[in-house]
Amino acid sequence: MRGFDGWAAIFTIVLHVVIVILLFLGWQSSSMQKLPVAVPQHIRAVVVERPAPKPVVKPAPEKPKVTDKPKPKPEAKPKPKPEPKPEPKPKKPEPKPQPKKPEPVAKDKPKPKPKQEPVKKEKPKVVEPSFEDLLASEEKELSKREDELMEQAKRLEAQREREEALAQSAASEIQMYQSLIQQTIQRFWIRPPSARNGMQVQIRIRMLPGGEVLEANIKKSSGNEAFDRSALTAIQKAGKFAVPSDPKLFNANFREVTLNFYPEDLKY
Amino acid sequence: MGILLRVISCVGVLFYFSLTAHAGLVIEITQGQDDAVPIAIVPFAWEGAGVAPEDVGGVITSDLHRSGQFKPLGKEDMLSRPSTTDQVFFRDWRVIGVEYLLIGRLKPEAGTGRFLVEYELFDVYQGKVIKQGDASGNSLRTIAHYISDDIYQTLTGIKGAFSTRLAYVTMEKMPDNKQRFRLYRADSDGYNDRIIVESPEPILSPTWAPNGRHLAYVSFEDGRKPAIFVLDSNTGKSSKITDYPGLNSAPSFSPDGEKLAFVLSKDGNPEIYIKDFKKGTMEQITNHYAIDTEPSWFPDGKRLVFTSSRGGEPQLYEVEISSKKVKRVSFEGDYNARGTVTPDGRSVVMVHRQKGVFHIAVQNLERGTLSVLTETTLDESPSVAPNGVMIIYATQQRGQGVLAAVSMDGRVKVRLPSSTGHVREPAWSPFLY
Repeated sequence: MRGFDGWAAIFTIVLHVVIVILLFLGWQSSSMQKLPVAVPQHIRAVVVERPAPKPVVKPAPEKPKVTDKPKPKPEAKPKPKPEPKPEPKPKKPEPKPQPKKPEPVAKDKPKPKPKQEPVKKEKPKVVEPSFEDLLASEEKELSKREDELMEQAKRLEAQREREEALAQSAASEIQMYQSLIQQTIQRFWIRPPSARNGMQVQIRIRMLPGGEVLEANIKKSSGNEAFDRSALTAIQKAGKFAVPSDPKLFNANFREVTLNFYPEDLKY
Repeated sequence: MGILLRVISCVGVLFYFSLTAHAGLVIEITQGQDDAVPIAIVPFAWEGAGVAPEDVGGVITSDLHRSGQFKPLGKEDMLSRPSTTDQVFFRDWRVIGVEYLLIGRLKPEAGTGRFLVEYELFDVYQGKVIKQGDASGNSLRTIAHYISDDIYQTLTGIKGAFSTRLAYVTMEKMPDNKQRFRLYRADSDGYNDRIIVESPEPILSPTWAPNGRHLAYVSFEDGRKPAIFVLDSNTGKSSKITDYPGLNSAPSFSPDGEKLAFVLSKDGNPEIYIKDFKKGTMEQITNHYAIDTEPSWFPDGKRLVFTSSRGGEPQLYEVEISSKKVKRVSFEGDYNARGTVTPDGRSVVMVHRQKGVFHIAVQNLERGTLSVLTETTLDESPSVAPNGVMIIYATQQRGQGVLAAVSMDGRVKVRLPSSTGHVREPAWSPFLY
């Protein structure tokens, strides 16, 4: 029975560790969402920059900027990105929680020790040699696990860095799709002759994950019906836009998009 | 506590996340195309006996096409020819890339000789009617122009000028080797042309009064000396306004129609004068030893633009009528003449010489930028449509004078069919309603 107690103790310790790990894993996965949050901030910065550079060459200049920060530029820029991203992302959510684990692990250690001491007291009463062996092997195992955890933590740290780079590449991916949408609409937008520079109509569109336009509504009219209609027609004529295939990226940024029609290249 | 904090922060993150998701991206669209808008005008259905006396859809098609802002679909490319709303399948039209669709029906009104035309304009991509209307009258062409105006205004936001008129002068060599000058009035598409003045002596510078009915012109019919006449284009009655010794030329009505500016050389040198019909007075506006000619009113009625050689070469100047203060307007090139201010008062259209060739050009009055609009040669007498979208002018084709039109942005160029003889001095009427 007492021997069993020892097993039970080990079992409880392992269980605790597992629970704690699971717990932190779970929480950290929720904190993972902070990464996507960082993405919108990038987007905003991008949007502010856009109005200034008119030339169609925009996509290229934007990419360099993004690339200056993270090194993974080459991967992020080309279209191949969309495919690689979807895979890495799903993996990330799980791994991320772990980076924080190193701390939890440290906490776990103190706990097991106090428990072990009581166990030791009990053990001496029964079979000392076998118990010490057990204890030793237990400790070895624990230290092994600690090492493993540390290693894992390191790995996670590296992964986190990679994720940050990916987050930035996500930002650049969003940029890329943004300018694709922009270019598509500009190709279809035929302005009426009454259009003047400085007129503005804001249209909110909702898209399906494939990029198909579900609906387009005028959010803020220019006051010129022909102008408003030309913008709506451009959207409906395009019908479908290039959007990220990663559902997370799509939902966060492309399910609803506001298009701000604001001509700057007219004669008047 | 820790967990609570995490829960709170988690909720916060989710909340923020959902907020950003709602706000979504903002994409700025700052450029677009200046292409003609694809439109389909289905031949209107005739609901009377026999064949329709006029192709209303065809008239509208050529009106919109001539504006340069629309690209009508050819009849042969239409997958269907609906004449009522229930026959319209938007997919047929989306497939071809048509943005707008116009259908209509016409029928004779029993016993009156009048016609009734009903029409519907659809936005193909939104799949709905955006304009419907009807019109009745004696002339199907007039009705068609009316519908063109309605469609044009709906789709462009600018009033259409299809129901306006043109005046122009033709010169023909008769078999007896004598010249024959005629002043014509025609619809804006050149149809329904009618002679309103005919003379063996030159007719020059026809110009419309703001009422769209009276015309002023210069004629030598009176003893081979120039004189300025005002003519009622409906009755053909004309009355002499000036016949001073020397030049009597270049009449131009004020925007309110109460005054006429023109050029006299009664004191030896061409100067600009204004006659006030109401007060019966005449006032000299310019006084310079160089030539001052070709006055044209600003829309505010307070200033004139005119051509003067006071700088050594013909250039455009403006004069404030009340103070007689003169300011130079054109600076580019060594020859700019025949200035006309556009209806919005923002630009002046002129004849501009570039590398020895005369072209029609437009100068933005705010920025001073000049753009040459035409590639034809010997271009002269530009006259701006009342909606400021097109300019009609005279040019030469194979040694013959013909009329041509160009859009204010220079993108669209149209040649107007010429009847026999030389056609010169076109004048675009104001809006008639």
